[in-house]
Amino acid sequence: MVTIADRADRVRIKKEPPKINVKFALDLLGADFKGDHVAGMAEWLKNSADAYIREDVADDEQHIVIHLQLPARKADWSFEVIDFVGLTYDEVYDDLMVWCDPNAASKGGKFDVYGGHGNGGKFHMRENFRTSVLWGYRDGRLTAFGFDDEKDYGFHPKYQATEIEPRKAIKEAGLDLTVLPEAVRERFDRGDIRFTIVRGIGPDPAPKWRSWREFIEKLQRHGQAKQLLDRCPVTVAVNGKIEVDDLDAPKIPAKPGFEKPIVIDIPARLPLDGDEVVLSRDGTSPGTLTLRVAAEPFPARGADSSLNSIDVKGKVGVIATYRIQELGVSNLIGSQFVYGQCSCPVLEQLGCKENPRKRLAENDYSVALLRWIGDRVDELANRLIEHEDREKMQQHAAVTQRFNALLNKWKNQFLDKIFAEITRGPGSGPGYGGTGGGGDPAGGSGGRGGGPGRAGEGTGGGGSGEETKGRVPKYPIVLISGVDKDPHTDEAVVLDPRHPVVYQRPTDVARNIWWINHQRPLAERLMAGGPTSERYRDYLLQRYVDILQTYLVSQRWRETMEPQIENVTDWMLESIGRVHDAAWRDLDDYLFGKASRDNGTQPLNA
Amino acid sequence: MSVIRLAHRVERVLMALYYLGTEKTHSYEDIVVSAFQHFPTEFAMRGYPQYPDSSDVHVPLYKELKTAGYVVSAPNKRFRLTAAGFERARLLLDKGKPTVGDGRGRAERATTMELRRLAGTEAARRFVEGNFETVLDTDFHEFFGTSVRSRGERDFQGRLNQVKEWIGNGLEAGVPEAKKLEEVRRALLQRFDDELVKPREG
Repeated sequence: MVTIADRADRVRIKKEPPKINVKFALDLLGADFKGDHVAGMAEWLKNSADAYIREDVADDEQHIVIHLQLPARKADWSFEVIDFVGLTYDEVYDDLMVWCDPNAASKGGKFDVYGGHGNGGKFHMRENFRTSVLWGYRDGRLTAFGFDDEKDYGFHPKYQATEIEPRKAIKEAGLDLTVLPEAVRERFDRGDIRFTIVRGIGPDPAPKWRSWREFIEKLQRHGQAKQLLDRCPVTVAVNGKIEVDDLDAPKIPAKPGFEKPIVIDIPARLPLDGDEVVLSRDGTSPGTLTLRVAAEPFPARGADSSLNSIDVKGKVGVIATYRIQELGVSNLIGSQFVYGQCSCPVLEQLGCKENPRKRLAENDYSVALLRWIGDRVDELANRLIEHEDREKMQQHAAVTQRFNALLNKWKNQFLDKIFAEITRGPGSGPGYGGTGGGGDPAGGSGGRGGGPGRAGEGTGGGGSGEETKGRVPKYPIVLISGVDKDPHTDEAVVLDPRHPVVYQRPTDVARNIWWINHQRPLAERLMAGGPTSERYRDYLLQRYVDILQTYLVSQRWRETMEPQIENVTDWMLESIGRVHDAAWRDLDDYLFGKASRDNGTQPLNA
Repeated sequence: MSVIRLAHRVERVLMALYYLGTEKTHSYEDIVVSAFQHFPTEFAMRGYPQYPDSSDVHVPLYKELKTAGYVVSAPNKRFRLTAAGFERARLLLDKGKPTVGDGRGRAERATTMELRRLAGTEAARRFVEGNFETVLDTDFHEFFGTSVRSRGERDFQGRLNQVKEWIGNGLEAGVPEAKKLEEVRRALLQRFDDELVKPREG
């Protein structure tokens, strides 16, 4: 039997070096970098940071300057990033001039650096400026390397590790000393003069931003730059003047209750369309997802919208950034608060890292991971919404309690006036507690006109009778179900939507407690509009009218020898009128103005 | 007819109230006088047969008759006969007379009306629909005609007894819905015994 290995037409080759139209290939690769000045600036910053890392410079001494020269004509603008390591001719020749070398920045893996494919900074120089130049001065030697307006590159004929006085090097390179940080100036003063300037001249395409601040704000929020900005002291200078001493990534206040980041281990195996992908063969977690919750939702547009994202970090730097809505989350409202970082170094080995480091290369690993991240964001968003609802309810409850306290006070004043009108002679407790019940024996002593009642008879307790004095409130205490707790048990009281609008449990009767049923459908609907809405405040007042009417009618009933139904309906109408008149007189702020304007936070008069 | 057993003297106080009229409330003093006028030998003061003795009226009125649901008290020490009290008084008047008519006809108009009311209550409706677990305390009060603010356990117990009697009468008279209403009544008492009934029994 002839095997494939034995077949004569088996491919046998004499290997040849690849032939490539380099310029066309660079145009092709460079297309991904075209037009994004923010991403390009981030690449330059990373290159500077990497230069410091290779020199083992402490983070707080890794001074980097962004210098924007913005004359009137955009064609004359130039953007610079300056560090104070000092690039050498050899580094340019051996590393920088090599395209597509993943080991360029790390020097063959010796350093954990931000740089990846060794292309980003160069492509920014090549693709986004009319011309660009890289100046390096170290050990008294100046090197200049750049791209011309035909996108060809090469060394400055005069400066190729050319020995030169520092002062002259500074002048030739066009380094503006006024933009140097204080620490660097001191170093220069000591004679330790080293620098690297990468400069793009004539941005092409011209940036669309209206002011340099807009550009810097975008840079602060860029996934590739954020981490670096927090670590290195980065100065921003514009037209020779320092505008920002130390540019940091925006500080995002955390939502109360979510101050600590949520750190989730990435599973070694992730599901994908009924199968699974293996990120870690030994079963250990290949990394972590860190989610954070902002105090306020990120806007859908504007600079801060980009913060509503997950940065995917490889070995050191960010290799991709995804807006939250790109992760297929379903809870769009809750997820507006979420941001974070997924650290998963293995992605670089799994072929997920792309040249421009905007997105992960699409393969089973990246798809499975992004879906998993989306699910975790959704879970957090759901928790967040529940928390928000609770928080909102608590805020509403606080305002409602204020209003209720106001109305309780007003109700007591109202009843005081009513009782003052009807009180006759000494020893005459109002006896209104009748509607509050309290049992037969208690009623007699609370009755109007004094004199103890017979055992087994009486007009009910809960008023101002002697027997109940000090234990039962003189006037009804009005509480709100779902908002207030039972004052004796401290337990939440939630009623049924079918319970009456004003309700008493048996245990409430003796305590003269009345509950406004906030579980009634209309109450819930009005509460959803906020407790300061006119409709809700009116609803709350009307429940007080109900209670006061019950009180007043009961009292009239007891006063009357032969009450008829016509009497009762007359008393109802009369009592409503009295309560309304009192409300009109005493509750102007509550009913007509102040309460709705100040969101119920200011004291009200009653 | 299903009736609550009453002592002879208590029956007399009920009749005294009945003779005063059933449409309005009457003062305690009116009832004492009525009892004395209609039953002078039983309600006269000892040693002074020409004067009424109010003490013999007090306990029947406040205790037995209220608890049975035949009398309700009004403010200012006034009392009124309930529909059940009225029926019981009529029954006492008709004692010994033969009854006529079919089963439903034997139930008095008030009983029929009350059974109709009970059948229309939320508790009865939910019981029939198999949703008794959704019944609330307020449904209990609607069924028995009580209130959480009913004053005194005797008024409350009176209503419970009254409803029991209405349904008992309906059962005796063969009113079709009475059997189901008795099931509702028992279910409500069982369900709300701890919450609403026992606390009032002290």
